[in-house]
Amino acid sequence: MAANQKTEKKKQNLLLSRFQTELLLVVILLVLFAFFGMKSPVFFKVDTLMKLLKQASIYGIIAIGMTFVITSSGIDLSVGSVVGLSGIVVSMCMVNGMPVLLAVVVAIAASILVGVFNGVLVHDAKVPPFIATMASMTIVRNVILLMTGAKTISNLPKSFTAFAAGDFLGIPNMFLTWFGIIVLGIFITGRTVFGRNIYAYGSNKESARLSGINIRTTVYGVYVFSAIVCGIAGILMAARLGNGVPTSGDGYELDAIAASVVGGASLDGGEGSVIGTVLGAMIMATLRQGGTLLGINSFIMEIIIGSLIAVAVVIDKMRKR
Amino acid sequence: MKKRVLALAMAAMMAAGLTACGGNTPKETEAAKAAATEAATAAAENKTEAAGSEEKTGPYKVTVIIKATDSSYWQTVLLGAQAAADESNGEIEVSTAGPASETDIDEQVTILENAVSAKPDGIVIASISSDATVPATEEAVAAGIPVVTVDNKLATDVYTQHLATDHYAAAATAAEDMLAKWEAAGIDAAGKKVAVISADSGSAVNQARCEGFADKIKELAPDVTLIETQYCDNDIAKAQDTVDNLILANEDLVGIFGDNNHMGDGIANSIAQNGKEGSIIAYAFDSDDTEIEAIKNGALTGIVVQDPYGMGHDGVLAAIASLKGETVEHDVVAATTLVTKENLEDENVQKLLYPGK
Repeated sequence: MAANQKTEKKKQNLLLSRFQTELLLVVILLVLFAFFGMKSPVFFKVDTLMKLLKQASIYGIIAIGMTFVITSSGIDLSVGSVVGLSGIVVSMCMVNGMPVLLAVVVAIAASILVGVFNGVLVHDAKVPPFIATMASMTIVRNVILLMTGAKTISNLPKSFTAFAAGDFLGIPNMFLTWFGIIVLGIFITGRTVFGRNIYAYGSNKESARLSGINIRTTVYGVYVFSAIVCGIAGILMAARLGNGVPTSGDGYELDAIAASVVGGASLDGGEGSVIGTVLGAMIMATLRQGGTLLGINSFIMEIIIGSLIAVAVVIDKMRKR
Repeated sequence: MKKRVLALAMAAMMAAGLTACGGNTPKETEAAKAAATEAATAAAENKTEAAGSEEKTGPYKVTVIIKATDSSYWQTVLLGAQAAADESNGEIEVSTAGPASETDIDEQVTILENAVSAKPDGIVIASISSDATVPATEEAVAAGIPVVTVDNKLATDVYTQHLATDHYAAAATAAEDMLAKWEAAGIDAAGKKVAVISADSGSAVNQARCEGFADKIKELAPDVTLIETQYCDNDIAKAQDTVDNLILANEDLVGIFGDNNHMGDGIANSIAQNGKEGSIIAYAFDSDDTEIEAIKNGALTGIVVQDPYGMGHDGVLAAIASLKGETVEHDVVAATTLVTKENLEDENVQKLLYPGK
């Protein structure tokens, strides 16, 4: 009972500090907008802003899954490979004559398999998440290469590729998909038992176990959720590229982790916010786009992004102390 | 006999080392080069003799080592090598090996060392590193095994033949064509902008392509502004985002060069989605289906295509020629072709685009 009260109190504190983290991120984002808006005449054009939303979407989607995993004190290095897998599966199915919708379902199912595999390794085999998902990252990537012979799959149906290029009332479909996942993520973390269990398990595994939380559902849940959103990201990516590319998604785990951590998630577990992650992804995308618009040397741009990750986390830690 | 050749090769290496310590005048380097080549040739001759005296039976065995098995480009090199064997009526037998990924330098060195110990009649290698495979290559040549290096040049002169694309010169052909296409389209590029999109900032090959293109543009059109090279981690989506942003920021963007096929895919996607066909003249290096489609519908103007099939094929034949005591050229530039709408359907171009079909 005492443990429960303690968790409650800690959670309240966390709620407060999460809110502050998000405020800080909004300020950073506004400063960036003001800076790039002043420096570049095209930055505030609708077209530029819509492209920015589009460019942030794929990372943004993956990062929300990553935030779930990190909050549960895990990590998911297999996200990039799942993006690649789902893109290849959806492409292969469609090229072999399967209807678009069915192909999408098959691709998501393939992604879920990877999520379950990660869950089994982490929960049942007690493999540390870093190692477990590193293994699945390697396995899945090479399954893709084997399936395709390292060749790109082209000639995807126009009805499929049109989705990524298209928009609804001027808002890119890619962003709308991300937005849907954001809403879902906020709902799960804020309004469901599963969501609360992720925070409880992430901050203290032992007390979570003692208070009767279903650990298996929680651990399987976060890895499967991460895999599903990566599956969606992979399908979007294939539509965007007009191709199933075997190497696509390679290295995306790092950007997803960065967005999550800048957004206030703690690798120690128990902390993480969907909104924060969205802001983190937006900040990174804004820096990259602004850098290209202003013609800033891309090495310098990546140094700035790296520094931002460090600074954001340091400020956050200092403030919480 | 073998020992003598080894000694000779070592002497040549020492000579090379000495000149490196000394003044290193061009003349001396030349001499060292010649000595090294002589050693290599002598070694090859010795091998033929040895083979003769042992009454060689069965086909010549050539081991072909590629940079990565996960890439269709290197698989095409193997196809070419295999074709050389198939054409030889059983005179040549090809075995192939390579690490899974182009970053596995250690593994490739191990593969080469094992290949040398197995004493094949010849080795063809596309080395990932310019340095790591040097000792094993020198050892092989000293042991009388001809080594043909393709694609990447090693930091030694002890090899039988080096067969590779001149990436710098090949990329320059795209720049020349860009000027011609501007003129044909009535675009006055003076004072306008050209962008270079690179897959990898750390690769010497990619650097050579970008420099080859940029230098030629600077030379032929000095009043064109080159935008800072954008690096995209060999990621199509990143290339597409970058070109989207460049188009947003630069209304006067009239040309783009991408340094490999993934960059070409991203550039083509972006140009098509922004409806810039014809107003931005774009080229890329290497081919894939998306690029070929883009050339057909005008999103890409052209691609510089290498001949990996030819490299595998000719590499094997050079090793055999050297075994037979024929003189082989030390350094050979492999041909590249600029593929545009005009020559896309030509038979020899189709062979380059779809090797082995």
